[in-house]
Amino acid sequence: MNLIGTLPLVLDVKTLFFIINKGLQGNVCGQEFLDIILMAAAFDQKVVVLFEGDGVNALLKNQQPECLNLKNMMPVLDTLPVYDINDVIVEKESMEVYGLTENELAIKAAVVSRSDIKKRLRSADHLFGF
Amino acid sequence: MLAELARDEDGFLINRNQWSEGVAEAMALEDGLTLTASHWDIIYFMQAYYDEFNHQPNARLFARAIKKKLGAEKGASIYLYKLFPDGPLKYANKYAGLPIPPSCI
Repeated sequence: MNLIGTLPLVLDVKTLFFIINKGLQGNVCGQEFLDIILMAAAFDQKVVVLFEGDGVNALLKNQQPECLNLKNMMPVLDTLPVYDINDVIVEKESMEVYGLTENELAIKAAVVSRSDIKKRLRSADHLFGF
Repeated sequence: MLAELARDEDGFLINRNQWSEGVAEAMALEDGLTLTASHWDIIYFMQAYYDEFNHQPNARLFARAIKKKLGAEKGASIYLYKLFPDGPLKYANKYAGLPIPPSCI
């Protein structure tokens, strides 16, 4: 079978939702997940990144994971606009759980309520979690 | 010039402070490459990206980021491979004095 011959020349554009609902540190999964997000954008897919649950803490300014010998993910999050990933949303209710306010977030993200997120999730072709 | 520099087994500088344009030219010559203004565009881009994001992209992202910053023509794979025939990502990083990218083997 000629696999190459079956591949379309241009990928269909799909809406891909990436859900970050836990801390990015602790194991390599967070880092790999961010790589997948960037790659999806590099392949011209429509990417939405959603931070909810414990994941909202990943957006906090002035993190110093280096003191625990962990990789700082903030520089990678800072590259999102380079790859035209501008649709970044944070769940309002999760921010409230941790008492976070919008000006404590290190990158530009839209604060959206759980009910509105549910509506947006329906528009996704694929959901990714880690 | 190159003999005094600490370099890894792939010839990448261990200490970026030892980098200079002269060092970059010498490293390229050693690989049989003469750097032109077009090479420097990519090398300086690489350094600026690394300084800003402390992150090394893989080849596909690298091309995409160049496209965004320097235009579609310079982000085209074929253009980059003409400049750095043995691998644009690896060799642009090498002559920029940066570490070997994690995606390069």
